[in-house]
Amino acid sequence: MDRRELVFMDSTSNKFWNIVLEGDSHTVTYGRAGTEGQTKSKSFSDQETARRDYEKLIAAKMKKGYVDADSATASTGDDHDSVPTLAFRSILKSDDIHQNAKTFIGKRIADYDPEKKAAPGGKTVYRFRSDWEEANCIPHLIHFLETDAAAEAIGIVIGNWAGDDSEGDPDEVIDLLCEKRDQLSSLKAIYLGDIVSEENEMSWIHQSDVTPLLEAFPNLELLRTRGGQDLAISNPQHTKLRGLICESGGLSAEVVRSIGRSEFPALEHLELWLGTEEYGGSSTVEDLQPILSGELFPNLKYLGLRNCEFVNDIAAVIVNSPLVQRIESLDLSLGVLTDEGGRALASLPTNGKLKHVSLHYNYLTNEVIKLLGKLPFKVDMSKPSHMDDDEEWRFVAVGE
Amino acid sequence: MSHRNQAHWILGDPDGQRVADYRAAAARCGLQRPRCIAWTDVINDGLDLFDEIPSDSRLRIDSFGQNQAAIAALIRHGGGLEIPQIGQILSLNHQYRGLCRVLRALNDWSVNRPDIELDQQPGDIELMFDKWATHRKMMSCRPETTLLPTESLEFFKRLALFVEDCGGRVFVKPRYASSASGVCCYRVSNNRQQLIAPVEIVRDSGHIRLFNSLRVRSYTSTRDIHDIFTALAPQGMIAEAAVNKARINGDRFDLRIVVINGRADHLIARQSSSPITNLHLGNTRASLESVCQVVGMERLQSCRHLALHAANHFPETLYCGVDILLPKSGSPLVCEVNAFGDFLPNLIANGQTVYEAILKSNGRNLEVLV
Repeated sequence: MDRRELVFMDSTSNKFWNIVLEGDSHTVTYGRAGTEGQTKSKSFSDQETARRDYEKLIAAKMKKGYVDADSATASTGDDHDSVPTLAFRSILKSDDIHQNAKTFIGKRIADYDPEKKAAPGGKTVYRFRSDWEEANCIPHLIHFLETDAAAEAIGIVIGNWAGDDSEGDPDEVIDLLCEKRDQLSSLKAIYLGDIVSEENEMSWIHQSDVTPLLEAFPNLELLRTRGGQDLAISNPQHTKLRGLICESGGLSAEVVRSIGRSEFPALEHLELWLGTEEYGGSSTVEDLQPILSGELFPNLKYLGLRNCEFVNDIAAVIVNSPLVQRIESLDLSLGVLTDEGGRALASLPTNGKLKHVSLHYNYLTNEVIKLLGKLPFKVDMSKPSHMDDDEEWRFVAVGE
Repeated sequence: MSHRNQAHWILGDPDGQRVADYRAAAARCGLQRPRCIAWTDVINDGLDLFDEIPSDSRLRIDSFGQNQAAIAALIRHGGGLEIPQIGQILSLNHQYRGLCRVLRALNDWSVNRPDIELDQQPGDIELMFDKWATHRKMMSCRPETTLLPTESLEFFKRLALFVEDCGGRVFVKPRYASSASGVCCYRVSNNRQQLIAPVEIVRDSGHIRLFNSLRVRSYTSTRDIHDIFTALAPQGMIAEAAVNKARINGDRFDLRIVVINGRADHLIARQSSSPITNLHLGNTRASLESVCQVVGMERLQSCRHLALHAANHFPETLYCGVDILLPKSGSPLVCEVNAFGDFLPNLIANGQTVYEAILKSNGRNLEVLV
């Protein structure tokens, strides 16, 4: 009997997929994490055919981004209290940017409703946000902090704090969280800025210095922010932080430099959306040197330099970076990667720990895609269909 | 003549899914196979074609659908010269004018053929296809929302004022189109503009063309937004105040209720993470159960009642699809009444699909809501 247990997480889902091979049949169990899921059995004419199908199904799932449930990225070994590294995954594909997160650290997100009793046990992550008619973010957060559920909350999501004022900053939210830190004694993960374009364009979001959060929550493992304007990490140090994600349309050079002089010894997942000059991005490949030199983050498993205008420059230097020998996952997706950068990546080291490279959303031609396909690890070179041919995405108005 | 033996005719797209589904539904109901007269034939050859319809037949006016030839013929029939490519948003005003010419001729014809039972009054379809005219007719149903009439010359000025009145957010949509075609969610905030729309701009040699796109895009540059409005304005546009819609699991939704012969049984909720909730943009149908959970049975009943009221403005028409917006708080609002809003395959209420319910209704005995 053979079996594989796979899991998948991203901004919208947390799923499992298990398969058991027994003789000439296999049984698949799959569903949302925490549920029993559905079961499907299939029989074959002989054992060999069953095994081939078993292998084929596993390969297809792995291609979609599933990983082994007991692998280093999916579990954290003995310390079951920690957030699995896999749960640090943010946006995987470009289309996901257009919708609010449905899960965070693998848990379901719900908008907080003061009229309903909050779920105990930290099973649900609550989101606090204002919309253009009701400034609920702060009042609902205050309400939540007085409940028993607050002490059990492992993650918290702050959505559009500014309501209809596209210029509002999150200072008030940050102050409130810091002031009430004792009520949030289990908190390990904060997402500050689950905001989609309809609520506020990513490039319009005003952020703030997030240092107070790092100081107030010494057990914080993940800090995820969205929005580049005024984002700062003035005192970049934290002994337990394992994941840092800064999503933006343009990240200032100062933020990149502050990460370059940071003390985050536990960091496993570093994801920076560097953006474009048009939206306030001002970093260059030189600002990334301290990160790429490899000494800064001894535990890093994932490096994401995403949504980047100058990703070709990064590709040229990253192949020689000592860091890339050590990490498992390199993510250069959502940027302007052309054949020039693609050719450079063909010399990525193949003798290190690198297992997965994401180049999703790229401008590579078939020739270079073929070249990179020869690398001995998984390279995601997918493109949204509209990048291939806009005409396929055009639809005809239905006369109704 | 008994209902079962009545000959059934459709003005529609003989190759389209709607007619195929309708015929399948007729077969399931044990009715005669409906015969279809193509929009293109009527436009090109005139209403003489209708003379072959025997006495006591029933006639349904269906959509011209996605039939490119029919769309081109309607535009030319309406005096238009520019024919859209597949998916292009162009000449909607001429398309409407062409449609009206056919509907008026059909109306004249029907006056001389009282022996034919029409599912819809052609004048009603003409009205429903003009969103601004429909809105004016139903003012009493929707006092909370103002609408903007379209004058291309004044478009930008009036739009700016209207946006200000509405607190910065409006929907701008073609006055004569349907579905999500050309629908834009427009927002002004701190002197910045944002337009979210399932629209793609194609520029070549100074020429701007707009296409419907399955991908909802967000435009923030003044140039893009200006180009979109410049291309849409001459085709006729209206603006509606944006409504802060209720949500299911964080997604917005609105309701499409098909009113058939005074009954509002067929209801779907269209759920989407984007502000454009129309179904064929890859959005999902929310279950009735989850809608009930969010809004409660009482509010849902008030939506059905509102849909009946909206449909009642068209008492001589057997069915229509009413779009209803449910704000987070406050009363539901009628957004649109769609003459051809009955194409909802697999939607079943009281054991009947929409088409089955229409087929079993008798247009001669329209029930009128009191």
